[in-house]
Amino acid sequence: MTQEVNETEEDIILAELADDELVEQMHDDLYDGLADEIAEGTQILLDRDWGPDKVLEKALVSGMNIVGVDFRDGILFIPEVLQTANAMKAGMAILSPLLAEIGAEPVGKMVIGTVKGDIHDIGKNLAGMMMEGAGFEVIDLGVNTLVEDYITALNEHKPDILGMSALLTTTMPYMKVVIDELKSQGMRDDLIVMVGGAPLNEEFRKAIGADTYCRDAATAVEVAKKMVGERRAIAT
Amino acid sequence: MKDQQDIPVASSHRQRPSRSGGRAGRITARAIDRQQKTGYAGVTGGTYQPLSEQDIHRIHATALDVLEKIGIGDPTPEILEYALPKGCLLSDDGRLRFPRALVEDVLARVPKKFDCYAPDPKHDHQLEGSRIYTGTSGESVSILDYETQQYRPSTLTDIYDAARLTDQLEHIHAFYQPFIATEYSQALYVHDINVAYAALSGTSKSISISTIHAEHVDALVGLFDLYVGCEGGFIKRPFCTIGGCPIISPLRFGKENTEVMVRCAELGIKYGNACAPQSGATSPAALAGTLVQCFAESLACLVVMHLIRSDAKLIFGMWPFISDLRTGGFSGGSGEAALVAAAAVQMGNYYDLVQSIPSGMTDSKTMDAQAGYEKALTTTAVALAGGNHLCAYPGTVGSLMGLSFEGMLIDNDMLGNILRLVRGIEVNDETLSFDVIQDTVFGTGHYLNHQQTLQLMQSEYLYPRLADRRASGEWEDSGSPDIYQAAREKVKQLLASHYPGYIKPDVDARIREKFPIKLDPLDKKPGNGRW
Ligand code: B12
Repeated sequence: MTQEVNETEEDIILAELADDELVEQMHDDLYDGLADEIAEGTQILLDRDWGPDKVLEKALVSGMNIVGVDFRDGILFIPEVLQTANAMKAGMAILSPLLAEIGAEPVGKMVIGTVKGDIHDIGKNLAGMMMEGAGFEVIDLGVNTLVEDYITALNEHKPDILGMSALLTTTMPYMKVVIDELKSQGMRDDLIVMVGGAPLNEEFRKAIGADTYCRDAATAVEVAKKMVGERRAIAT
Repeated sequence: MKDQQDIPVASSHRQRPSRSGGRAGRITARAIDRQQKTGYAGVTGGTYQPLSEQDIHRIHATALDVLEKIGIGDPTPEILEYALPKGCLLSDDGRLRFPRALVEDVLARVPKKFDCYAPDPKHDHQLEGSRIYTGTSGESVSILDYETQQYRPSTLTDIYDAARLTDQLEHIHAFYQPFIATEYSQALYVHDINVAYAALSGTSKSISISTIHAEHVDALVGLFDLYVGCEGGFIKRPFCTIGGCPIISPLRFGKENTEVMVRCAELGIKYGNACAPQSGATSPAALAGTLVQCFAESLACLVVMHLIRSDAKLIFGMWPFISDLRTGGFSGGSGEAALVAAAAVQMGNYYDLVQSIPSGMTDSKTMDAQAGYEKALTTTAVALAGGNHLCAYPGTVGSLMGLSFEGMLIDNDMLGNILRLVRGIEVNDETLSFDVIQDTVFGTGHYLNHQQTLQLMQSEYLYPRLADRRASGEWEDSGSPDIYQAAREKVKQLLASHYPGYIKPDVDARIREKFPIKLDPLDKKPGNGRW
């Protein structure tokens, strides 16, 4: 059964920890992918009158940064990273409405889908889950996504980022169909268009007029954070 | 001292050489295809069995549970039309459930062997039991370019050239579309027709095409009929298999591929399903669980095909793939990949199904040592297990993304050696060789010119085309080439010379009249500037 170490760790009563200890414990709990504990910790900090923006930044986002680094370095494996993303989501579920109330800027929002004619979704799912792990709100349109479905979702959710995935040479060009439609509807400049999938490359990204091509999900998170930040800086 | 009389007289083995046609006869005897006596098409595997009989029964029982209680999602209208009247059930959640008795019944009844025809009957073979044939397999999107040694998108002429290479490689028995002709990615009708045309232009071995449009199957039949010269001619000797992935793991039908599978069943064309769940991502991380799901998914295809037509021919394709759980990426070459694929073969063989199995899917980007061991490991495992059609991916590198012609040649040698290994050791009175040993010990003291050696040297031993067995000094004197360089020279030689006229000019004209053929006639002749 549970080892000695775990038992003592499970004995930790979050509510009894001082703020800085709690934040540190939450970083560990995020790393261990403990969704219930993260929800609890988030609530405790809010009850101690921390603003939702401060909880997000100090307890969650900064905790997740190390996850990205350790994933890249091969210390964390993908199933573990997805557990951390899940824990992050549990915290975000509490914070998101509160962030909206105070008008604080959320980390960002992304609509993602595999393009028409293509059913490959493992990479798309990974990219989506990793983005959630970084605090983004992700609306997943699934596979075989038609241009009109993208447009409807974009109008409804008003995301910062549109993510498209394609694994087939036959379906990749559909990304351009979507981008052209965004242009003709005057929506292109409101969005960061991010594309991915095994057969894509930078040259193709340029040819279709997407903003960024990401080789893998971890890169996608880094680039997304950076690009959303830059856009906001320009906007203000 | 021994008396002269005690020395045994030369046995019947020590015959005088007989006339064998002098130099010309010997050249013929040495011809490459004679080596097929050593590692040949149709050799029988089945000795490697990673699962116990009880394991097989438990995997089987659980797979039937899966089909009965979880079922397959997203059945297409065509499937429902065929399957519901025959006993499958559509549940409220929209999933098609397969009653166990129905599955068991189909398993007992499906054809256990069938002919695999080739355009040239000399390459026909019979798929049955655990007899092994090898083929190229698809569908990469790039080629490691011969001149630049950089990856570039693959094209129609690459498919034609790959077919011409296959035609000349004795240990690759069938040509399954290895690439996409990427320049026609947006014109799939043109694409599919031209892939078939390029294949038939380059090889007379059995071919396989992948399409995701059911109506293209009919068009392809039209093309093949023109090729054989009479309407309905193709279906009498269907030398082309259609292949694809009708299942999207976990346990859903993929619409387009399913429509293709249904159409093939209706027309009586051989169909190869590749059910390729990735352990840990789209099937359980437990390899046994992956086998359960993969078996269930392939059984669903088998049942559907059989319900459409009781003599439908499905090449049962359990293709269990592996995820690298550090990144979630697909991985083709590993001990686990070899093991789980061999176990899949064992499942298929236990039920005596004609099956295909992938191997040789290295993750290395070039034909390096990693590629060498990954390819040999997975291919040896499935060959020893006795998979009928080894989709051995000769030359394919980069986790199925690219192909190298040099690699095809290197893998041809590897495949020959593996077939040799699978063939095993013939033990009988003759081969036990008591007399030969006696002859030699009391005679010349060596076996090098013994009649038995002469008799067996081309059937007991395989002589690879490329592997370097010279002394190191000799190797250094010739510039210290590695196997890749040796393969480069040979590729050029093979592709510069072999322009078979498999499609006769009048037939070609008729085909070009009816179909949008894009392969330039000049590309099918020497002096095209490519080689
Ligand atoms: C698994 C797989 C399948 C599974 C898919 C299961 C599923 N639920 O997704 C099945 C078996 C169903 C399948 C079916 C087919 N497949 Co497939 N498949 C693959 C395979 C082996 C691995 C793909 C994969 O999941 N990789 C793992 C994930 C994690 O990697 P990834 O997708 O690249 O994603 C990463 C990055 O690219 C990036 N990323 C991906 N998307 C996005 C999106 C954004 C926004 C961002 C930022 C990043 C990002 O981040 C991810 C994580 O790091 C590839 C080969 C390969 N090496 O890629 C072939 C491959 C892509 N398939 C291929 C083919 C041909 C097919 C079929 C057409 C076969 C057929 N004839 O039926 C059908 C497709 C039918 C259809 N209409 O789509 C070819 C492509 C040929 C082509 N024309 O381009 C390939 C290359 C294999 C081959 N050589 O044949 N396939």
